[in-house]
Amino acid sequence: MRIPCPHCGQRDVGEFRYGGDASKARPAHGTGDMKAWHDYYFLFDNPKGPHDEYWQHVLGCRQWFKLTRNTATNEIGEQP
Amino acid sequence: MLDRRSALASAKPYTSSVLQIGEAHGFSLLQVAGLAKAISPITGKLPVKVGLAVTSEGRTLMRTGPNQFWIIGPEVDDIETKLPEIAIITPLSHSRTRIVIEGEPARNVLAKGVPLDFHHSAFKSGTFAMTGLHHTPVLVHCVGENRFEIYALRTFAVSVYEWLTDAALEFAR
Amino acid sequence: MFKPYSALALAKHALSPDRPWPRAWNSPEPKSSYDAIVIGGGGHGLATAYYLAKNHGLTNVAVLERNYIGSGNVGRNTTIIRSNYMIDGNTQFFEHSLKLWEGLSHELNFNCMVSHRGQVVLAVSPAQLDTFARRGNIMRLNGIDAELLDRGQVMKLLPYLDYSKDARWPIYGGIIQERAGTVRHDAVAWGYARAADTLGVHIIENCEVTGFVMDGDKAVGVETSRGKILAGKIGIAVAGHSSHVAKMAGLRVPIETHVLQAFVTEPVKPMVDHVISWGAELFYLSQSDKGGMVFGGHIDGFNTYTQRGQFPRIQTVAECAVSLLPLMSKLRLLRHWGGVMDMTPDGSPFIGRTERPNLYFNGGWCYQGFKATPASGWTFAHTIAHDEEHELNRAYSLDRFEKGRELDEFGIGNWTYKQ
Repeated sequence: MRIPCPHCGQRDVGEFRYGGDASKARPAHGTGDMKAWHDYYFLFDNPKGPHDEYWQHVLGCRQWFKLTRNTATNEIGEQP
Repeated sequence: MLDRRSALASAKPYTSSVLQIGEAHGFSLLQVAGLAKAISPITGKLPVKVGLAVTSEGRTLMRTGPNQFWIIGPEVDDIETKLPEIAIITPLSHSRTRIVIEGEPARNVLAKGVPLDFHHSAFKSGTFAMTGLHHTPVLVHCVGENRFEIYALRTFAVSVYEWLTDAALEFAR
Repeated sequence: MFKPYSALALAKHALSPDRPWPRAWNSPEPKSSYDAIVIGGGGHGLATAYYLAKNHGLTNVAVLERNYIGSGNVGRNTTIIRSNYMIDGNTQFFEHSLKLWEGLSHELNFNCMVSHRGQVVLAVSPAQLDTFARRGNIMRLNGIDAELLDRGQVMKLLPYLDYSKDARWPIYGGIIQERAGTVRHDAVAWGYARAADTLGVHIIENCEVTGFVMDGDKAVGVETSRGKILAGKIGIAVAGHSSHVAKMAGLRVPIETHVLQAFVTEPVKPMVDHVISWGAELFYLSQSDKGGMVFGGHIDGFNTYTQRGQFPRIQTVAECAVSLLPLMSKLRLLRHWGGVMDMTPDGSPFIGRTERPNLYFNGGWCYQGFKATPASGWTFAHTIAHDEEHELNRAYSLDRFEKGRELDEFGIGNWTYKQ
């Protein structure tokens, strides 16, 4: 599997660190609603299909970026 | 004046009739973060794309990321004093060991451990990649048809050097 | 009804070779309704159906499997069983499972090749040996067997490891659980299926659940690729696809699906008589009866449903193998494969009720589900039959994060070298 770093180009997945789900909106600072925090932190859509996610090019330029990958096939589409 | 010590001082020298692997001493390295248009009047024109290395005023200029550059100059260089007002600088001269590998088998040796395409058409002279070797971050710079300079983190220099000489065994005795 | 397997049966069939063995389980057409449905024909789902029938007299039950039974993780794991957990909730649960493993072949009348060959976890520092002592004491206090080993004792048991003075990870000793070991994983699926079928459970293969039939917020049945099936109670046991199926019932769960790779070498003569786990990194190895070294390590590290791992993980697991057993560098890797499983925020599973009445959930096994198979089925059956958790799975609730009651196995559940 190769990950398209926006700066360094296509690189082997071993050069990257996976950053997880990028689709969730963090509750506003100061939100007292614990359910909102619980749902944001502990619940996942975990789709079998297109998944917006973060990656970091740790062995390369060390930049963070987002992309969309289909978790059923590992195909990577256009970056969001 | 601080004495510059080699991290490979204790490493076994490598000899082969077809391959050279050894330390290339005598360089200074500056990591610079800032805008190209502000920096280039001082350094000379900077590469536009990540992965390209250009020569300017006796130095190698590399673009290593968005608004991020490496400037490789001679052992004694005053570029460091000219940039602080313009960009964020991180002197890295003493953090890296530069290992050179040259010879016909060089590309095959590197291909064993670096997940890049080392074919002549894919990794050309004047280009570089920040990548991984032996689980450590390295910068691999192609400086000739079969000559590569590898900037390894000083702490891992011996380990990377030993990995290279070990990987070379099947190609050169 | 099947004739039980026995020495007499073996002799009879040997003497009349044209009389075939009866089918191990039937392939009935799904009925329009059952008292209970278990979604997922893996180890846990089949065990659940068996215990529903055996322990609770619920025999009007169907197991719905979208593929063939055993095609999921029960057929892909590295076969290890053990009960050396340190956190309350997990300690007792996995011990109950090991006790069930101990009699399982007899219980199911199916040879599951349960081999109590023992598991040794190796300590690579004096401090680590201290943590193992702590874990061993917790096990002992819970009535579970554990022995601390010094370096000399480990050398006697496992002479093939690297004890040289140049060893990168010197071995200081270890902890052994003698009752731990391995099980023939496929046999578990077939054994539970056959035993459940004998009691009247319907095993329905090639039947994929595509939706739930809801009556308000109550789940009263499922839509499947083989038609609609109604049920009084529905249990979900679909490791790897838990989020996927839960979503059909409008539920979001604390799970990310990840791939774990496993590896086997070419067969060699018998040499490794134990399960070995390492203290330097997550790495576990045993030798199968066919002779191949079966081993594995960490998950790849990113969400995927592909059941296919990537090369960097092959490389790091191979590095562990060669560091621990230098002879591994001479062996050829025969095969590698992957399975997808549910990873949870605390590394511990879920077995219990959901917010939907009559809908029950069993998942989140991270990559420690195989050893849990009997206890998982046993407690899930109890939960479904009584509409209430058993004491052994009470800690495994879906709402434990809300309540601050994580079972913090570092979020992975399997790091024997860190527990």
